Amino acid sequence: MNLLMFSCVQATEIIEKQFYTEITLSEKVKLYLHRNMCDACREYYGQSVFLDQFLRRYKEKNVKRELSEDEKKAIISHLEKLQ
Amino acid sequence: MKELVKNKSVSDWVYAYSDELYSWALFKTSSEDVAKDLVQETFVAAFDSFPTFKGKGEGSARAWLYSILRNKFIDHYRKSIREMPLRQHDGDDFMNDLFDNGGQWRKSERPHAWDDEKMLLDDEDFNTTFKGCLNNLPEIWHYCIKSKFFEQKESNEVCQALNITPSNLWQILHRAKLHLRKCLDQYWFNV
Repeated sequence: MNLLMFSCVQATEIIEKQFYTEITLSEKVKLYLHRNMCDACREYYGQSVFLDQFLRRYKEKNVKRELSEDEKKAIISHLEKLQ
Repeated sequence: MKELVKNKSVSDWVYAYSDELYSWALFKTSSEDVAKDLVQETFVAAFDSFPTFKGKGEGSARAWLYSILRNKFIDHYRKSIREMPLRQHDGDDFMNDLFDNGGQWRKSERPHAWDDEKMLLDDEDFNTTFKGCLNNLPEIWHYCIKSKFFEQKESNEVCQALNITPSNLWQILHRAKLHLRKCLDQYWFNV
């Protein structure tokens, strides 16, 4: 493994890691070098930032969901059997 | 007589609270089957430990049931985590599909530009596709994404709940993001 360079798998890992925590200077430098020469990871970086923003804004609708009458009866009859 | 009182209360509770418990469990797990099981287990546990609850008043029944459900939910995830070696392995296969042995993108997997993705934040169809991709994630990955982004929990809180290390968590989030990206690429951007 090249000491100066990340592979793509390492680069994408550090791209993700920096959203959650400080990365080291050496990681910053290696990521910078990698992004400068790898089109795919440069694309990945932009898309990952987009996904990060999207996830932060995304509100999963907490739709009210119900159990059917039969499902409730099934729970009750299961409980009755336990005695 | 005692048995009767217990039965009456617990079945009343099924009618009074099972829907909201189910909604909560479904939101947390994104699986109808798992949610149903957790709700049923909650009532079974309530039924078993009813004597310890009795006399605390109707108002606390709901809170009591929620606390049981919350514990059932955490147990469920701890158990899934114990089955992690297998899941980890699935994750490895997924990584091998994306990257070659030297860790470089496989030719077919290299990310290409997405058109106008910034316009999609409020696009309803895109949100639907996105939701489908989220639900496609392995359960633990989905849980990590939810905790981190939707509930904005601190990393150490998520790690504690799942009993994993911070580097496990980053690894899961890394894979989850790769998975989401690939899914959107496949079902939205290249359609």
